[in-house]
Amino acid sequence: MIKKKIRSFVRSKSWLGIILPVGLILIWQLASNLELINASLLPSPARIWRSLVKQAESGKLAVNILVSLRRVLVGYALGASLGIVIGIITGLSKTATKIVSVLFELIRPIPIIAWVPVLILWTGIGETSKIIVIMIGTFWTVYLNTSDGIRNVDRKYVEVSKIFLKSKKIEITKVMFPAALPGIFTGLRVGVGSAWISVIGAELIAASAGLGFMISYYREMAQPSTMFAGVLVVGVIGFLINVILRRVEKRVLKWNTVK
Amino acid sequence: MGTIVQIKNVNKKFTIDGETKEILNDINFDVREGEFVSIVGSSGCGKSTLLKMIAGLESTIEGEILINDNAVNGPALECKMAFQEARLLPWRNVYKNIGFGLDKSVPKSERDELIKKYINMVGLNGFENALPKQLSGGMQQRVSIARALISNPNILLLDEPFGALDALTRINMQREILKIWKQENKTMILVTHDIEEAVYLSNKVVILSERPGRIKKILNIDLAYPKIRGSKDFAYYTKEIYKEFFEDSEHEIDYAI
Ligand SMILES: Nc1ncnc2c1ncn2[C@@H]1O[C@H](COP(=O)(O)OP(=O)(O)O)[C@@H](O)[C@H]1O
Ligand SMILES: [Mg+2]
Repeated sequence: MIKKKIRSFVRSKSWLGIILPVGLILIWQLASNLELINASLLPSPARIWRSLVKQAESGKLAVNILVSLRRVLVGYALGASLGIVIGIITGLSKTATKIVSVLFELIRPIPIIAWVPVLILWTGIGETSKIIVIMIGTFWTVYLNTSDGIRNVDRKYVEVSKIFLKSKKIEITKVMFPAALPGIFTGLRVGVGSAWISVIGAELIAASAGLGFMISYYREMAQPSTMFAGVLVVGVIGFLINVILRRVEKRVLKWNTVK
Repeated sequence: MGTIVQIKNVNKKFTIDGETKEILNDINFDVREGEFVSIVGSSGCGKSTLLKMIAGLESTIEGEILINDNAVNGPALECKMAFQEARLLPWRNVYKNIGFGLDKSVPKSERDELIKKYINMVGLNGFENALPKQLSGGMQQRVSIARALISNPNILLLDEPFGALDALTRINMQREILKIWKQENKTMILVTHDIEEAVYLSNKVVILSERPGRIKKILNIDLAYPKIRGSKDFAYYTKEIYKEFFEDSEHEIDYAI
Protein backbone atom coordinates (compact mmCIF):
# COMPACT_ATOMS: atom_id res chain seq x y z
CA MET A 1 0.00 0.00 0.00
CA ILE A 2 2.61 2.52 1.12
CA LYS A 3 5.09 1.11 -1.38
CA LYS A 4 2.54 1.62 -4.12
CA LYS A 5 1.95 5.22 -3.05
CA ILE A 6 5.68 5.93 -3.06
CA ARG A 7 6.06 4.40 -6.49
CA SER A 8 3.21 6.43 -7.97
CA PHE A 9 4.63 9.53 -6.29
CA VAL A 10 8.00 8.93 -7.95
CA ARG A 11 6.42 8.22 -11.30
CA SER A 12 4.06 11.22 -11.23
CA LYS A 13 7.03 13.58 -10.98
CA SER A 14 5.33 15.36 -8.07
CA TRP A 15 8.69 15.16 -6.29
CA LEU A 16 10.10 17.66 -8.79
CA GLY A 17 8.21 20.36 -6.89
CA ILE A 18 10.20 19.66 -3.75
CA ILE A 19 13.59 20.43 -5.32
CA LEU A 20 13.18 24.20 -5.32
CA PRO A 21 12.11 24.77 -1.67
CA VAL A 22 14.67 22.25 -0.34
CA GLY A 23 17.42 23.76 -2.48
CA LEU A 24 16.50 27.24 -1.34
CA ILE A 25 16.60 26.24 2.33
CA LEU A 26 20.01 24.61 1.84
CA ILE A 27 21.44 27.71 0.18
CA TRP A 28 19.86 29.89 2.85
CA GLN A 29 21.40 27.75 5.61
CA LEU A 30 24.76 27.75 3.88
CA ALA A 31 24.70 31.53 3.46
CA SER A 32 23.79 31.92 7.13
CA ASN A 33 26.65 29.66 8.18
CA LEU A 34 29.04 31.75 6.11
CA GLU A 35 27.52 34.84 7.76
CA LEU A 36 26.51 36.30 4.41
CA ILE A 37 23.07 37.10 5.85
CA ASN A 38 22.40 39.43 8.78
CA ALA A 39 20.81 37.05 11.35
CA SER A 40 18.80 39.85 12.98
CA LEU A 41 17.07 40.44 9.64
CA LEU A 42 16.82 36.84 8.46
CA PRO A 43 17.72 34.08 10.91
CA SER A 44 18.98 30.77 9.56
CA PRO A 45 16.51 27.93 8.86
CA ALA A 46 17.98 25.90 11.72
CA ARG A 47 17.52 28.82 14.12
CA ILE A 48 13.88 29.30 12.99
CA TRP A 49 13.29 25.57 13.39
CA ARG A 50 14.64 25.66 16.98
CA SER A 51 12.32 28.58 17.83
CA LEU A 52 9.44 26.70 16.27
CA VAL A 53 10.14 23.59 18.35
CA LYS A 54 10.41 25.76 21.48
CA GLN A 55 7.06 27.40 20.75
CA ALA A 56 5.52 24.01 20.10
CA GLU A 57 6.92 22.52 23.30
CA SER A 58 5.66 25.42 25.40
CA GLY A 59 2.17 24.84 24.00
CA LYS A 60 1.92 28.45 22.81
CA LEU A 61 2.06 27.47 19.15
CA ALA A 62 -0.92 25.13 19.41
CA VAL A 63 -2.96 27.82 21.18
CA ASN A 64 -2.16 30.39 18.50
CA ILE A 65 -2.92 27.95 15.68
CA LEU A 66 -6.22 26.94 17.25
CA VAL A 67 -7.28 30.53 17.86
CA SER A 68 -6.61 31.48 14.23
CA LEU A 69 -8.22 28.31 12.85
CA ARG A 70 -11.32 28.78 14.95
CA ARG A 71 -11.74 32.33 13.68
CA VAL A 72 -11.26 31.20 10.09
CA LEU A 73 -13.71 28.35 10.50
CA VAL A 74 -16.48 30.55 11.89
CA GLY A 75 -15.85 33.50 9.58
CA TYR A 76 -15.46 31.28 6.52
CA ALA A 77 -18.63 29.30 7.25
CA LEU A 78 -20.62 32.51 7.68
CA GLY A 79 -19.08 34.32 4.71
CA ALA A 80 -19.38 31.33 2.38
CA SER A 81 -23.02 30.66 3.35
CA LEU A 82 -23.91 34.28 2.84
CA GLY A 83 -22.04 34.32 -0.48
CA ILE A 84 -23.88 31.23 -1.71
CA VAL A 85 -27.32 32.48 -0.64
CA ILE A 86 -26.93 35.98 -2.08
CA GLY A 87 -25.13 34.54 -5.12
CA ILE A 88 -28.08 32.24 -5.83
CA ILE A 89 -30.56 35.09 -5.43
CA THR A 90 -28.70 37.46 -7.75
CA GLY A 91 -27.93 34.59 -10.13
CA LEU A 92 -31.64 33.86 -10.44
CA SER A 93 -32.96 37.40 -10.55
CA LYS A 94 -31.80 40.23 -12.78
CA THR A 95 -33.76 42.61 -10.57
CA ALA A 96 -31.85 41.50 -7.47
CA THR A 97 -28.57 41.92 -9.37
CA LYS A 98 -29.53 45.48 -10.34
CA ILE A 99 -30.60 46.32 -6.78
CA VAL A 100 -27.26 45.32 -5.24
CA SER A 101 -25.02 46.24 -8.18
CA VAL A 102 -24.01 49.80 -7.30
CA LEU A 103 -23.59 49.13 -3.58
CA PHE A 104 -21.55 45.98 -4.17
CA GLU A 105 -19.35 47.57 -6.82
CA LEU A 106 -18.60 50.41 -4.41
CA ILE A 107 -17.77 48.18 -1.44
CA ARG A 108 -15.95 45.39 -3.25
CA PRO A 109 -12.78 47.31 -4.21
CA ILE A 110 -12.10 48.13 -0.54
CA PRO A 111 -9.15 45.96 0.53
CA ILE A 112 -10.06 43.56 3.31
CA ILE A 113 -7.42 44.97 5.61
CA ALA A 114 -8.94 48.44 5.42
CA TRP A 115 -11.97 47.02 7.22
CA VAL A 116 -9.98 46.07 10.31
CA PRO A 117 -9.73 49.53 11.94
CA VAL A 118 -13.33 50.29 10.98
CA LEU A 119 -14.58 47.10 12.58
CA ILE A 120 -12.46 47.59 15.67
CA LEU A 121 -14.07 51.00 16.00
CA TRP A 122 -17.53 49.48 15.68
CA THR A 123 -17.21 46.21 17.56
CA GLY A 124 -14.09 46.55 19.67
CA ILE A 125 -10.96 44.46 19.59
CA GLY A 126 -12.69 41.14 20.38
CA GLU A 127 -13.58 38.16 18.21
CA THR A 128 -16.42 39.86 16.36
CA SER A 129 -14.23 42.24 14.40
CA LYS A 130 -11.95 39.42 13.23
CA ILE A 131 -14.78 37.14 12.26
CA ILE A 132 -16.49 39.87 10.26
CA VAL A 133 -13.23 40.63 8.44
CA ILE A 134 -12.92 36.97 7.49
CA MET A 135 -16.56 36.92 6.45
CA ILE A 136 -16.00 39.84 4.11
CA GLY A 137 -12.84 38.26 2.72
CA THR A 138 -14.66 35.00 2.00
CA PHE A 139 -17.92 36.51 0.85
CA TRP A 140 -16.79 38.22 -2.35
CA THR A 141 -15.20 35.31 -4.17
CA VAL A 142 -17.92 32.87 -3.14
CA TYR A 143 -20.65 35.35 -4.01
CA LEU A 144 -19.23 36.22 -7.44
CA ASN A 145 -18.60 32.61 -8.46
CA THR A 146 -22.01 31.43 -7.24
CA SER A 147 -23.83 34.25 -8.96
CA ASP A 148 -22.00 33.61 -12.25
CA GLY A 149 -22.43 29.86 -11.89
CA ILE A 150 -26.19 30.07 -11.39
CA ARG A 151 -26.62 32.65 -14.14
CA ASN A 152 -24.77 30.47 -16.64
CA VAL A 153 -26.58 27.19 -15.91
CA ASP A 154 -27.44 25.59 -19.23
CA ARG A 155 -31.11 26.31 -20.02
CA LYS A 156 -31.39 22.76 -21.26
CA TYR A 157 -31.24 21.38 -17.72
CA VAL A 158 -33.85 23.86 -16.56
CA GLU A 159 -36.14 22.67 -19.36
CA VAL A 160 -35.70 19.11 -18.12
CA SER A 161 -36.79 20.24 -14.67
CA LYS A 162 -39.79 22.03 -16.15
CA ILE A 163 -40.99 19.17 -18.31
CA PHE A 164 -41.01 16.88 -15.29
CA LEU A 165 -43.05 19.51 -13.44
CA LYS A 166 -40.57 19.98 -10.63
CA SER A 167 -41.23 22.70 -8.12
CA LYS A 168 -39.17 25.88 -8.18
CA LYS A 169 -37.44 24.64 -5.03
CA ILE A 170 -36.37 21.37 -6.66
CA GLU A 171 -35.36 23.26 -9.80
CA ILE A 172 -33.02 25.46 -7.78
CA THR A 173 -31.67 22.92 -5.27
CA LYS A 174 -31.54 19.77 -7.39
CA VAL A 175 -30.85 21.16 -10.86
CA MET A 176 -29.39 24.66 -10.89
CA PHE A 177 -27.28 24.36 -7.75
CA PRO A 178 -25.49 21.14 -8.76
CA ALA A 179 -25.05 22.49 -12.28
CA ALA A 180 -23.39 25.59 -10.83
CA LEU A 181 -21.36 23.65 -8.27
CA PRO A 182 -18.08 23.52 -10.22
CA GLY A 183 -18.07 27.32 -10.31
CA ILE A 184 -19.18 27.60 -6.70
CA PHE A 185 -16.33 25.32 -5.65
CA THR A 186 -13.80 27.53 -7.37
CA GLY A 187 -15.18 30.36 -5.25
CA LEU A 188 -14.98 28.27 -2.09
CA ARG A 189 -11.37 27.33 -2.79
CA VAL A 190 -10.22 30.86 -3.58
CA GLY A 191 -12.38 32.09 -0.70
CA VAL A 192 -10.61 29.97 1.89
CA GLY A 193 -7.36 31.56 0.74
CA SER A 194 -8.78 35.03 1.31
CA ALA A 195 -10.15 33.91 4.67
CA TRP A 196 -6.72 32.83 5.78
CA ILE A 197 -5.13 36.04 4.55
CA SER A 198 -7.85 38.04 6.33
CA VAL A 199 -7.43 36.39 9.72
CA ILE A 200 -3.68 36.84 9.74
CA GLY A 201 -4.08 40.44 8.59
CA ALA A 202 -6.62 41.21 11.27
CA GLU A 203 -4.49 39.58 13.96
CA LEU A 204 -1.40 41.48 12.86
CA ILE A 205 -3.22 44.73 13.46
CA ALA A 206 -4.91 44.01 16.76
CA ALA A 207 -5.14 40.76 18.68
CA SER A 208 -3.98 39.07 21.85
CA ALA A 209 -3.71 35.58 20.37
CA GLY A 210 -3.43 33.85 17.00
CA LEU A 211 -0.71 33.37 14.45
CA GLY A 212 -0.88 36.96 13.22
CA PHE A 213 -0.50 38.13 16.80
CA MET A 214 2.47 35.77 17.24
CA ILE A 215 4.22 37.31 14.26
CA SER A 216 3.73 40.91 15.31
CA TYR A 217 4.40 40.20 18.99
CA TYR A 218 7.80 38.59 18.39
CA ARG A 219 8.76 41.36 16.00
CA GLU A 220 8.17 43.81 18.82
CA MET A 221 10.08 41.49 21.18
CA ALA A 222 12.95 41.56 18.66
CA GLN A 223 12.92 37.77 18.31
CA PRO A 224 13.02 37.44 14.54
CA SER A 225 13.47 33.65 14.56
CA THR A 226 10.18 33.14 16.39
CA MET A 227 8.51 35.70 14.16
CA PHE A 228 9.67 33.77 11.09
CA ALA A 229 8.49 30.54 12.68
CA GLY A 230 5.03 32.14 12.76
CA VAL A 231 5.29 33.16 9.10
CA LEU A 232 6.31 29.60 8.22
CA VAL A 233 3.34 28.08 10.06
CA VAL A 234 0.94 30.50 8.34
CA GLY A 235 2.28 29.38 4.97
CA VAL A 236 2.16 25.68 5.77
CA ILE A 237 -1.40 25.80 7.13
CA GLY A 238 -2.59 27.82 4.14
CA PHE A 239 -1.05 25.17 1.91
CA LEU A 240 -2.71 22.33 3.82
CA ILE A 241 -6.14 23.99 3.73
CA ASN A 242 -5.83 24.24 -0.04
CA VAL A 243 -4.86 20.57 -0.32
CA ILE A 244 -7.83 19.49 1.80
CA LEU A 245 -10.27 21.59 -0.18
CA ARG A 246 -8.98 20.20 -3.47
CA ARG A 247 -9.54 16.70 -2.13
CA VAL A 248 -13.09 17.54 -1.11
CA GLU A 249 -13.71 19.16 -4.47
CA LYS A 250 -12.42 16.14 -6.34
CA ARG A 251 -14.78 13.89 -4.42
CA VAL A 252 -17.87 16.10 -4.63
CA LEU A 253 -17.38 16.92 -8.30
CA LYS A 254 -16.46 13.40 -9.38
CA TRP A 255 -19.24 13.55 -11.99
CA ASN A 256 -17.56 16.55 -13.57
CA THR A 257 -14.04 15.13 -13.79
CA VAL A 258 -14.65 11.45 -14.44
CA LYS A 259 -13.72 10.38 -17.96
CA MET B 1 -60.68 7.44 -30.91
CA GLY B 2 -60.86 11.16 -30.42
CA THR B 3 -58.36 13.83 -31.29
CA ILE B 4 -55.82 14.35 -28.53
CA VAL B 5 -53.43 16.92 -30.01
CA GLN B 6 -54.47 19.72 -32.34
CA ILE B 7 -51.99 22.01 -33.98
CA LYS B 8 -53.68 24.99 -35.57
CA ASN B 9 -52.06 27.64 -37.76
CA VAL B 10 -48.86 27.53 -35.79
CA ASN B 11 -45.99 29.85 -36.71
CA LYS B 12 -42.73 30.21 -34.85
CA LYS B 13 -40.07 32.85 -35.13
CA PHE B 14 -36.83 33.27 -33.25
CA THR B 15 -35.08 36.58 -32.86
CA ILE B 16 -31.32 36.37 -32.62
CA ASP B 17 -29.32 39.61 -32.35
CA GLY B 18 -32.30 41.64 -33.52
CA GLU B 19 -32.75 39.51 -36.61
CA THR B 20 -36.03 37.62 -36.80
CA LYS B 21 -35.91 34.21 -38.39
CA GLU B 22 -39.00 32.35 -39.40
CA ILE B 23 -38.66 28.74 -38.25
CA LEU B 24 -42.10 27.19 -38.69
CA ASN B 25 -44.82 28.41 -40.99
CA ASP B 26 -48.52 27.59 -40.90
CA ILE B 27 -48.36 24.16 -39.27
CA ASN B 28 -51.69 22.35 -39.10
CA PHE B 29 -52.31 18.75 -38.13
CA ASP B 30 -54.15 16.60 -35.64
CA VAL B 31 -53.04 13.58 -33.68
CA ARG B 32 -55.67 11.10 -32.67
CA GLU B 33 -55.63 9.36 -29.33
CA GLY B 34 -53.41 6.27 -29.51
CA GLU B 35 -51.93 7.30 -32.83
CA PHE B 36 -48.24 6.99 -33.71
CA VAL B 37 -47.20 10.05 -35.69
CA SER B 38 -43.75 10.72 -37.10
CA ILE B 39 -42.42 14.08 -38.18
CA VAL B 40 -39.70 13.96 -40.81
CA GLY B 41 -37.74 16.81 -42.30
CA SER B 42 -34.20 17.89 -42.97
CA SER B 43 -32.11 19.17 -40.09
CA GLY B 44 -32.79 22.73 -39.00
CA CYS B 45 -36.36 22.77 -40.34
CA GLY B 46 -37.83 23.17 -36.86
CA LYS B 47 -38.74 19.63 -35.81
CA SER B 48 -37.32 19.92 -32.29
CA THR B 49 -38.90 23.35 -31.91
CA LEU B 50 -42.30 21.93 -32.88
CA LEU B 51 -41.97 19.13 -30.35
CA LYS B 52 -40.94 21.56 -27.62
CA MET B 53 -43.96 23.69 -28.40
CA ILE B 54 -46.24 20.66 -27.96
CA ALA B 55 -44.42 19.93 -24.69
CA GLY B 56 -45.19 23.45 -23.49
CA LEU B 57 -41.57 24.56 -23.34
CA GLU B 58 -41.80 27.48 -25.78
CA SER B 59 -43.35 30.56 -24.31
CA THR B 60 -44.20 32.57 -27.42
CA ILE B 61 -46.06 30.96 -30.25
CA GLU B 62 -48.45 32.16 -32.90
CA GLY B 63 -51.46 29.96 -33.48
CA GLU B 64 -52.79 27.36 -31.14
CA ILE B 65 -51.81 23.98 -29.77
CA LEU B 66 -54.49 22.04 -27.95
CA ILE B 67 -54.14 18.90 -25.87
CA ASN B 68 -57.48 17.34 -24.98
CA ASP B 69 -59.08 20.59 -26.16
CA ASN B 70 -57.07 22.68 -23.69
CA ALA B 71 -54.57 25.21 -24.97
CA VAL B 72 -51.01 24.29 -24.03
CA ASN B 73 -49.54 26.93 -21.77
CA GLY B 74 -46.77 25.02 -20.06
CA PRO B 75 -45.57 21.47 -19.44
CA ALA B 76 -48.34 19.04 -18.49
CA LEU B 77 -48.37 15.79 -16.58
CA GLU B 78 -49.85 13.86 -19.50
CA CYS B 79 -47.15 14.79 -21.98
CA LYS B 80 -43.46 13.92 -21.58
CA MET B 81 -40.50 14.33 -23.87
CA ALA B 82 -37.21 12.56 -24.52
CA PHE B 83 -34.89 15.27 -25.80
CA GLN B 84 -32.65 14.98 -28.83
CA GLU B 85 -29.47 15.43 -26.78
CA ALA B 86 -30.54 13.04 -23.98
CA ARG B 87 -30.09 15.87 -21.44
CA LEU B 88 -29.30 13.64 -18.50
CA LEU B 89 -28.30 15.46 -15.34
CA PRO B 90 -24.55 14.76 -15.33
CA TRP B 91 -24.27 14.63 -11.52
CA ARG B 92 -26.89 11.89 -11.20
CA ASN B 93 -26.29 8.24 -11.92
CA VAL B 94 -28.55 6.19 -14.19
CA TYR B 95 -30.84 5.16 -11.33
CA LYS B 96 -31.33 8.71 -10.09
CA ASN B 97 -31.70 10.17 -13.57
CA ILE B 98 -34.54 7.78 -14.32
CA GLY B 99 -36.01 8.51 -10.88
CA PHE B 100 -36.06 12.21 -11.78
CA GLY B 101 -38.88 11.42 -14.21
CA LEU B 102 -41.18 10.27 -11.41
CA ASP B 103 -43.83 12.70 -10.32
CA LYS B 104 -43.91 13.80 -6.70
CA SER B 105 -47.30 12.09 -6.34
CA VAL B 106 -45.66 8.66 -6.64
CA PRO B 107 -45.18 7.28 -3.10
CA LYS B 108 -41.66 6.41 -1.93
CA SER B 109 -42.54 2.75 -1.52
CA GLU B 110 -43.27 2.36 -5.25
CA ARG B 111 -40.35 4.32 -6.61
CA ASP B 112 -37.63 1.71 -6.36
CA GLU B 113 -39.65 -0.98 -8.09
CA LEU B 114 -40.69 1.39 -10.89
CA ILE B 115 -37.14 2.60 -11.51
CA LYS B 116 -35.86 -0.97 -11.65
CA LYS B 117 -38.62 -1.93 -14.06
CA TYR B 118 -37.63 0.82 -16.48
CA ILE B 119 -33.90 0.19 -16.13
CA ASN B 120 -34.71 -3.35 -17.11
CA MET B 121 -36.92 -2.27 -20.01
CA VAL B 122 -34.16 -0.21 -21.62
CA GLY B 123 -31.61 -2.95 -20.94
CA LEU B 124 -29.34 -1.08 -18.55
CA ASN B 125 -29.16 -3.60 -15.72
CA GLY B 126 -25.80 -3.36 -14.03
CA PHE B 127 -25.40 0.31 -15.00
CA GLU B 128 -27.55 1.73 -12.19
CA ASN B 129 -24.60 3.53 -10.63
CA ALA B 130 -22.93 4.70 -13.83
CA LEU B 131 -22.72 8.44 -14.45
CA PRO B 132 -23.90 9.84 -17.80
CA LYS B 133 -20.30 10.54 -18.83
CA GLN B 134 -19.51 6.86 -18.45
CA LEU B 135 -22.23 5.81 -20.92
CA SER B 136 -22.22 5.63 -24.70
CA GLY B 137 -24.51 8.00 -26.60
CA GLY B 138 -27.00 5.21 -27.21
CA MET B 139 -27.12 4.26 -23.55
CA GLN B 140 -27.69 7.89 -22.57
CA GLN B 141 -30.56 8.04 -25.03
CA ARG B 142 -32.11 4.94 -23.46
CA VAL B 143 -31.88 6.48 -19.98
CA SER B 144 -33.59 9.55 -21.37
CA ILE B 145 -36.42 7.44 -22.83
CA ALA B 146 -36.84 5.56 -19.55
CA ARG B 147 -36.99 8.88 -17.68
CA ALA B 148 -39.79 10.06 -19.98
CA LEU B 149 -41.68 6.76 -19.81
CA ILE B 150 -41.54 6.20 -16.07
CA SER B 151 -44.20 8.79 -15.27
CA ASN B 152 -46.57 6.92 -17.57
CA PRO B 153 -47.62 9.91 -19.72
CA ASN B 154 -50.45 9.60 -22.25
CA ILE B 155 -48.47 11.41 -24.87
CA LEU B 156 -44.82 10.67 -25.45
CA LEU B 157 -42.71 13.04 -27.53
CA LEU B 158 -39.54 11.47 -28.87
CA ASP B 159 -36.94 13.68 -30.51
CA GLU B 160 -34.67 11.52 -32.69
CA PRO B 161 -34.30 9.04 -29.87
CA PHE B 162 -32.58 6.35 -31.88
CA GLY B 163 -30.14 8.54 -33.76
CA ALA B 164 -27.14 7.58 -31.67
CA LEU B 165 -27.89 3.86 -31.59
CA ASP B 166 -26.23 1.16 -33.64
CA ALA B 167 -28.45 -0.62 -36.15
CA LEU B 168 -29.15 -3.62 -33.96
CA THR B 169 -29.97 -1.73 -30.79
CA ARG B 170 -32.07 0.64 -32.85
CA ILE B 171 -34.25 -2.17 -34.18
CA ASN B 172 -34.63 -3.52 -30.65
CA MET B 173 -35.59 -0.13 -29.26
CA GLN B 174 -38.07 0.41 -32.09
CA ARG B 175 -39.71 -2.88 -31.14
CA GLU B 176 -39.74 -1.89 -27.48
CA ILE B 177 -41.37 1.43 -28.29
CA LEU B 178 -44.02 -0.29 -30.39
CA LYS B 179 -44.65 -2.72 -27.56
CA ILE B 180 -45.11 0.08 -25.05
CA TRP B 181 -47.26 2.00 -27.50
CA LYS B 182 -49.58 -0.96 -28.03
CA GLN B 183 -49.68 -2.32 -24.50
CA GLU B 184 -50.28 0.98 -22.79
CA ASN B 185 -52.26 2.62 -25.56
CA LYS B 186 -50.11 5.72 -25.68
CA THR B 187 -50.01 8.50 -28.20
CA MET B 188 -46.56 8.87 -29.68
CA ILE B 189 -45.09 11.74 -31.64
CA LEU B 190 -41.66 10.93 -32.97
CA VAL B 191 -39.20 13.19 -34.75
CA THR B 192 -36.80 11.37 -37.01
CA HIS B 193 -34.74 11.81 -40.13
CA ASP B 194 -34.84 8.09 -40.81
CA ILE B 195 -37.59 7.51 -43.36
CA GLU B 196 -37.63 3.73 -42.90
CA GLU B 197 -38.08 4.24 -39.19
CA ALA B 198 -40.98 6.63 -39.75
CA VAL B 199 -42.76 4.13 -42.01
CA TYR B 200 -42.00 1.20 -39.72
CA LEU B 201 -43.33 2.85 -36.58
CA SER B 202 -46.11 5.21 -37.51
CA ASN B 203 -49.72 5.43 -38.61
CA LYS B 204 -49.07 8.84 -40.05
CA VAL B 205 -46.01 10.72 -41.29
CA VAL B 206 -45.88 14.51 -41.36
CA ILE B 207 -43.32 15.67 -43.89
CA LEU B 208 -41.85 19.13 -43.34
CA SER B 209 -40.15 21.29 -45.95
CA GLU B 210 -36.78 22.95 -45.49
CA ARG B 211 -36.55 26.16 -43.50
CA PRO B 212 -38.92 27.68 -42.69
CA GLY B 213 -40.66 24.38 -41.97
CA ARG B 214 -43.98 24.02 -43.75
CA ILE B 215 -46.08 20.92 -44.07
CA LYS B 216 -45.33 19.37 -47.43
CA LYS B 217 -47.49 16.35 -47.05
CA ILE B 218 -49.23 14.21 -44.47
CA LEU B 219 -49.07 10.57 -45.41
CA ASN B 220 -51.23 7.89 -43.80
CA ILE B 221 -49.44 4.56 -43.61
CA ASP B 222 -52.11 1.92 -44.09
CA LEU B 223 -50.05 -1.08 -43.06
CA ALA B 224 -50.86 -3.62 -40.36
CA TYR B 225 -48.41 -4.10 -37.48
CA PRO B 226 -45.92 -5.64 -37.29
CA LYS B 227 -44.79 -4.14 -40.55
CA ILE B 228 -42.48 -6.13 -42.77
CA ARG B 229 -39.53 -3.95 -43.70
CA GLY B 230 -38.73 -5.73 -46.95
CA SER B 231 -42.29 -5.89 -48.24
CA LYS B 232 -43.47 -4.24 -51.41
CA ASP B 233 -46.05 -2.09 -49.59
CA PHE B 234 -43.40 -0.94 -47.14
CA ALA B 235 -41.18 0.11 -50.02
CA TYR B 236 -44.06 1.97 -51.62
CA TYR B 237 -44.43 4.23 -48.57
CA THR B 238 -40.73 4.88 -48.15
CA LYS B 239 -40.56 5.82 -51.80
CA GLU B 240 -43.52 8.17 -51.40
CA ILE B 241 -41.62 10.02 -48.68
CA TYR B 242 -38.30 10.05 -50.52
CA LYS B 243 -40.13 11.59 -53.46
CA GLU B 244 -41.17 14.53 -51.31
CA PHE B 245 -37.57 15.22 -50.40
CA PHE B 246 -36.03 14.80 -53.77
CA GLU B 247 -38.85 15.85 -56.07
CA ASP B 248 -36.78 18.32 -58.04
CA SER B 249 -33.48 16.51 -58.03
CA GLU B 250 -31.75 13.80 -59.94
CA HIS B 251 -31.38 11.78 -56.74
CA GLU B 252 -34.79 10.33 -57.30
CA ILE B 253 -33.31 7.70 -59.54
CA ASP B 254 -31.21 6.28 -56.71
CA TYR B 255 -34.30 5.45 -54.80
CA ALA B 256 -36.39 4.04 -57.61
CA ILE B 257 -37.13 0.47 -56.72
N1 LIG C 1 -33.87 28.94 -28.54
C1 LIG C 1 -33.57 29.27 -29.81
N2 LIG C 1 -33.21 30.54 -30.10
C2 LIG C 1 -32.93 30.88 -31.36
N3 LIG C 1 -32.96 30.04 -32.41
C3 LIG C 1 -33.30 28.77 -32.19
C4 LIG C 1 -33.62 28.31 -30.86
N4 LIG C 1 -33.94 27.00 -30.95
C5 LIG C 1 -33.81 26.66 -32.25
N5 LIG C 1 -33.43 27.71 -33.00
C6 LIG C 1 -33.23 27.70 -34.44
O1 LIG C 1 -34.37 27.17 -35.04
C7 LIG C 1 -34.04 26.37 -36.16
C8 LIG C 1 -34.69 25.02 -36.03
O2 LIG C 1 -34.11 24.31 -34.96
P1 LIG C 1 -34.60 22.87 -34.55
O3 LIG C 1 -36.04 22.94 -34.19
O4 LIG C 1 -33.68 22.37 -33.52
O5 LIG C 1 -34.42 22.06 -35.89
P2 LIG C 1 -34.42 20.48 -36.17
O6 LIG C 1 -34.77 19.79 -34.90
O7 LIG C 1 -35.42 20.28 -37.25
O8 LIG C 1 -33.06 20.13 -36.65
C9 LIG C 1 -32.53 26.32 -36.21
O9 LIG C 1 -32.11 27.21 -37.21
C10 LIG C 1 -32.10 26.80 -34.86
O10 LIG C 1 -30.90 27.50 -34.97
MG1 LIG D 1 -33.77 18.53 -33.77
